[in-house]
Amino acid sequence: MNKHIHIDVQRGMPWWKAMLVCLPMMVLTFVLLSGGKAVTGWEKQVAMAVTFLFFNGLFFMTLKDGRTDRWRAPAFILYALLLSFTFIVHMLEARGAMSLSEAKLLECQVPFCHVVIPMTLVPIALKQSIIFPGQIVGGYASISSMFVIWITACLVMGRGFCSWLCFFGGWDDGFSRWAKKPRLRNIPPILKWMPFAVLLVVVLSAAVFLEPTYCAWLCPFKAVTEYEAVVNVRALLQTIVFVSLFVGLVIVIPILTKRRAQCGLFCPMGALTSFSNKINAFDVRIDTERCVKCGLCARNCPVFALSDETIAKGRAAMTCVKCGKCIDVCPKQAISYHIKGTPPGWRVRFTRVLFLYITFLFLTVFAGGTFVEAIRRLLNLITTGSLFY
Amino acid sequence: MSVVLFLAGRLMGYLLFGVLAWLTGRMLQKELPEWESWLFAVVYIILAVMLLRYAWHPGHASCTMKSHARWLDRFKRMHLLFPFLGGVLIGVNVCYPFMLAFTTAAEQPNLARSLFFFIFFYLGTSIYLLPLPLLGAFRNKTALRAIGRLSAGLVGLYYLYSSTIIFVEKVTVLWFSGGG
Repeated sequence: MNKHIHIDVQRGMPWWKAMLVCLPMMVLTFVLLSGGKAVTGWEKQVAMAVTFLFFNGLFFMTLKDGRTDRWRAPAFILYALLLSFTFIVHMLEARGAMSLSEAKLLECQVPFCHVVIPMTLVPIALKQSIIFPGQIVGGYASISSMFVIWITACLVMGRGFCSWLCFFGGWDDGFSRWAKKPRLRNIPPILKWMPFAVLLVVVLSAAVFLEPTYCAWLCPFKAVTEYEAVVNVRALLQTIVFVSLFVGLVIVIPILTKRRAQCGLFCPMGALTSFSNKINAFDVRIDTERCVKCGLCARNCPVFALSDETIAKGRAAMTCVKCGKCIDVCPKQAISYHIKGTPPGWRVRFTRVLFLYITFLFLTVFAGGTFVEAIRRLLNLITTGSLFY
Repeated sequence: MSVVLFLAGRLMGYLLFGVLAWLTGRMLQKELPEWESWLFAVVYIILAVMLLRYAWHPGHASCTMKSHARWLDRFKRMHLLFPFLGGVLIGVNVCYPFMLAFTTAAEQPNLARSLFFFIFFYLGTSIYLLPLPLLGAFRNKTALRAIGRLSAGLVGLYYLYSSTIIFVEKVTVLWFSGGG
């Protein structure tokens, strides 16, 4: 049964109020980015200053302007680009190539990414073994660190992880904003369940074959990070597949549809993380009386979490990534962030600021390291002519 | 209790076929060692295409929830042994996913792996039957059906893909060894 909620929200706040609200964020991000230590070296100081100003500037604008997605997107997209940049440079520096040799696989030196998590769960439970050639602790992107980050983020922001922390999501988010208008509008509704089908298949196949099957066969982001060296027919076919998936799901379809095709129609990690929306404190609600059913929110939702059905129920589906785009585009300001357990329409502005504090803090801390590293590398390139230290 | 016995019977049916699949694989290895991988590749391609067709047009009655529900309802009222036997019979109904699973299990190097594979096949196909945690999130049967169809399509594509690789690898080896 639909409960009427009345959302009384004004876009934005005066600049002085936004500055006051920003102050604690600035202190926290300064401490967390610097690690509580004095920053030495002019390159690192410049990189940290630029990173600090960039993220806090975006946070300030989010509060002052009142729009969420407008100011989240630049940080999220840049994070994806710079992560790939720093990752590739690091791989070239450490081993001289983007491609992985069998020797490196046997040494268990492969950086772990969060997308592998669903495939590791059943083998860990049944055989106490991790089917990934990475380091459990220490090193670059260890298994334990990614598990901790993902679990913490899920508890705190649910599938907001996919819009605020995932260092791959910015790719198709960026390409989805390329065109002015979508060329392809009618996506078959059945396809929105594809991520769950992919999740089921990769989890079961990984358990049976004791191999991270998504990583081995399907991950499109190997095109911008690392991949197995092409030394035989099988590796060549795998390469063709992941490059095709990257071009199709991350570039072409997002440009044509203006939606995040990889995240909304394929990613198994997104499907698994969707379940955390059921336990997370924040969700996205719709004031059904204020709503004029223009459908603008559903047409703009990047992951197909809004439809006539969900709008009528007054809430986004469990696949909502909490990016704030629907909130920004609604002409009647009928959509807002909401804390579960509170009455509908309860302290909407406070809830928004609380949600943004959490998400921006996470984003700054985790993406900040990548930004600092990327800026340092670029400064090193300018001063020494080399990206390597 | 009837439901538990039914599910146990279904698992037993799958495990029995796991054993049969492994024995079939061993027999092929012994009798046709040169043709074994070609045979598997051909069978995979045929079954993968059939599975893709099934995913596109889900009309195969014996694989659907409706037929299972009818049997389940009937056995609830019968002697305890019957739900178990019913489960065994339902478990061994020969549909495209089952034949693909049989073929894969026949390829496994040892009996344990064949049985392990069939256990996971059982879990994967039980999505409509088991009260799995989090399935409450899919109260909507349309969602479950959609996921089932899409999963079948993905598995079909996987088998088509992997059997194509077997063919390409074998042809490449034959080509470079001068067809010898």
